[in-house]
Amino acid sequence: MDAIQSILVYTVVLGSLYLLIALGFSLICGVLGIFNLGYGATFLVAIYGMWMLLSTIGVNLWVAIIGVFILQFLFTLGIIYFPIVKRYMEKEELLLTSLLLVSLIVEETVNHFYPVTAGVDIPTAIFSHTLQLGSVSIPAQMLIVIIAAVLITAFFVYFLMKTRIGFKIRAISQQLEASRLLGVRVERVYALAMILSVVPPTICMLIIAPIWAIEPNMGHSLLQTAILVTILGGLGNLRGTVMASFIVGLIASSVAFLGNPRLVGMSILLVVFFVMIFKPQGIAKSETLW
Amino acid sequence: MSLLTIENVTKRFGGLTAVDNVSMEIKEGEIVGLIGPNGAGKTTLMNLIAGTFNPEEGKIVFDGHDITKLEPFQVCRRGVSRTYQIPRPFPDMTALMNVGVGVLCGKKRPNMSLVDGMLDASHCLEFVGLFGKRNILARDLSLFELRALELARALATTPRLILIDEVMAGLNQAEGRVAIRLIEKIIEEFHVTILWIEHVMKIIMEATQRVVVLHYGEIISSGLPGEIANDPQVIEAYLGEKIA
Ligand SMILES: Nc1ncnc2c1ncn2[C@@H]1O[C@H](COP(=O)(O)OP(=O)(O)OP(=O)(O)O)[C@@H](O)[C@H]1O
Ligand SMILES: [Mg+2]
Repeated sequence: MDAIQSILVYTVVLGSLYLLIALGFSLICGVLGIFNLGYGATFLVAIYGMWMLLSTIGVNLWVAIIGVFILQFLFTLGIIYFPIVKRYMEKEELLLTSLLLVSLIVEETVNHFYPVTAGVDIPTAIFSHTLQLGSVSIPAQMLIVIIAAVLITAFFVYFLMKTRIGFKIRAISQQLEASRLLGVRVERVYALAMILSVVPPTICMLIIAPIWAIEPNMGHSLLQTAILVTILGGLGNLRGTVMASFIVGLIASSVAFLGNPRLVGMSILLVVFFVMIFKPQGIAKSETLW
Repeated sequence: MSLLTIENVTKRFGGLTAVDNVSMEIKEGEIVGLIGPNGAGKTTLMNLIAGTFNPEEGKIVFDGHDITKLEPFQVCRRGVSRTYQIPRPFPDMTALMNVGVGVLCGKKRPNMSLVDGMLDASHCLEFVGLFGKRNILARDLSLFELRALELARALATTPRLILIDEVMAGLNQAEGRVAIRLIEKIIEEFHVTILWIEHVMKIIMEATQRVVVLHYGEIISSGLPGEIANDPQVIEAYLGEKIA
């Protein structure tokens, strides 16, 4: 009984977390049709950008939060989109290699200025106590993760389904060439999608930084999570991504509470691997973004 | 007055010269047929006009503006639209939304809401006879309906020049007749200029005022439909394939 309660609670908590981690990656996969391997660096820019603003430059918390978003937009447009993605869109090997290189450079830079031993302390915790749900206790801050996941997903869906720009984004994701010919300014919409894509990971990091182990190489496992969820969700379908996040959450919590916590990573990888082999289109029902 | 002027345009794909030093002119209101054997470079020429490709050499002028190096969205907003030989709908959008993309993006309309866009789109759909199918996903439409949808989408951008790439391909005779009638209706109603690729000679002969013949990327003949049909070079280009 306790195990079932734990599994339920953690499916929701982890599912929300995975969703925040994967949403931006999935959007770019669906709209631009690429794997943004620079996405891992987005998490580092969020956390260490914040830490740089707070500790090295010494601004107050609110200025730092605004600053980190600006930094993120500059990073994604000025380093990821315009110099690399836009230029190498049609040349996949160059695209993937350069994106990977950029994320490694970011990691090395972070490691140089803020090595693990120096520690990072980001005071964005809203709750610092733990919460007792039946027999399960979780950090109350995790509630914010759930709320953020719901709100951001709702915003994404609203934006895609109800706004003009969202309409153009969907057109591009379904038939690129016809969109161009019908007057859609594809490059501009791409740039906007890139901006949108860094919002969830930034918010996610701001929420969990206070309760997580922060290290300069954390981008890899976060990128891996984003990739796995996106593949399972059908490469860019947002509804699929939402479902996939919670499925992965369910796998992780079931294995952790019924089996061995050390097998969590392995079981997620195996499930996604078999989905790729037997159902490469993932769990999504259609090609649309939603 | 000349609406479209193509001057010495060349496009190569690697070693292959798909369009070779082509020059032609289309006057406002003209219906011009573009014919030639498979692989002659007809579709490529349309792609050059629409901005999908840029030519290596030469110049394309539309309505007095040099459009040679413009992006497709810019060419579209200047008043050129096209249909595809193989329809390219937005598969997971309804017919109405497919046309809506053209309405909302084909001209600069920053203040038009999605709802107003869809209203305009429904007029275009009605014009091509697809109003009853407005809520059907494009992936579920028949080939004939997709061709009508392509025409509706082209109209939605309020073009002055429409590039039509083979409406007839794959349609049966009855459908073909409806499609031709539809294009005639578009010409009557909107006074558009048309460059029209078609393999069915009979249609080119009946529906166009002037015909240009491409062969291996070069213009080998052009003139009135009747003249073209009797041009030995043209006959050879078409028959040559079969006899050789
Ligand atoms: N994107 C491309 N890349 C490389 N070669 C191409 C490309 N597009 C067309 N070609 C080549 O250019 C030549 C002209 O092709 P195009 O499609 O313009 O012919 P077409 O006259 O439209 O023929 P069809 O009647 O079969 O439609 C062909 O040899 C074709 O293989
Ligand atoms: Mg063709």
